[in-house]
Amino acid sequence: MKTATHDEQAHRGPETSWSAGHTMAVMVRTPDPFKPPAGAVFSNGEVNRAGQLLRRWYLRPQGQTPEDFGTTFDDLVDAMIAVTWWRGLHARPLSRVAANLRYHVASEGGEVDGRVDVTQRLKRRPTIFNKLEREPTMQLTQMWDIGGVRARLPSLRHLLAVSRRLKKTWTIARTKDYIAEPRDSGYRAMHHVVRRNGRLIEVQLRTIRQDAWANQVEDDGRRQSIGYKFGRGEEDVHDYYRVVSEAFAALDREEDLSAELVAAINEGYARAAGKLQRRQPREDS
Amino acid sequence: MMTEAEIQHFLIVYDIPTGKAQVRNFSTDYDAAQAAYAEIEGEMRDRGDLDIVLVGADSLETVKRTHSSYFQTEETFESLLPAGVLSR
Repeated sequence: MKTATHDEQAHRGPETSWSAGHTMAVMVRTPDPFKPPAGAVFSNGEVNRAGQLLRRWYLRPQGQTPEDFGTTFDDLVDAMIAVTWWRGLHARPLSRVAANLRYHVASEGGEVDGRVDVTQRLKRRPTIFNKLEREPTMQLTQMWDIGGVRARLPSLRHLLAVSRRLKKTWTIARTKDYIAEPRDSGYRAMHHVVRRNGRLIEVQLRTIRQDAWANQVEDDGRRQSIGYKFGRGEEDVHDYYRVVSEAFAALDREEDLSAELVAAINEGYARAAGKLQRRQPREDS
Repeated sequence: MMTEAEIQHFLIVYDIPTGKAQVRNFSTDYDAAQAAYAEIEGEMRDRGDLDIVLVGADSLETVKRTHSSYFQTEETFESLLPAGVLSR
């Protein structure tokens, strides 16, 4: 796909240094270089090739120019546009799944404080590329969480009831039960992938505790990513997360916390506390 | 019952170092919200200190509840442990 704005740039060629990481440096002078023009259409093959090109580009040795790399500046911009376009195709199916999920959550009495806590999001572009890098064989058109819906449910009983209902009413393409089998990090939730209007949409069901845990770990991780490193204590922090997740799982099952678990939480906290880099309370709130 | 056309869209620009979120409300105009999302991702592509995300829900109130880490940074997950479990 070509557009006039990019042709102009092609004559000049890339004129800046190319920075590493998930940035494209100053590539074009148009105000929003990655926005798909109206009427743009890409084939699945083009979308997948765009994903492959950008995956390789982000993993290239630092300092390489597009030419060193065997591509052109224009092709990189077009690839970025193709990815954004592909993500946009998920918007309507995503809204449809979210509206359906709200209905199912309400039908099971799954409100929290009288509200149906269902939210949808289109995956952030940097996290699309992170995922492509982590999973070298993944094709962009097979990525199942570009559109994501999340429900926060008042109890494990509600979560399982909604989950059963979805399995009964929807055609589920893929299920990951991170409650029966938590991730190594301690992450717990129920994930279903559903196909809607030809697009894959991921549905995450979480209890209040599972959601609070995941948000906390995500927030700690965000700060870590910009330089608040856990450093040598990183393993202590992760051990602490895991033990808190176990405690939340027990509470979600309406079990009392065992003396061993309480001791483990306190030991874990003592080891991790200095490394959690929690924010100071905000003055304005 | 809410339909998909009634979902409201919010573009969140979260400043990681300060812990503050700016929100643009696009109401039910998903196309405009998506255009703005792509635009700001392009403009801010060098800003690793920002988290930019487009979310939708019945209201901003719901977004604040489900994406709590963008909106409140005081309460940590320890508050969900029963009283007395964690002695610090």
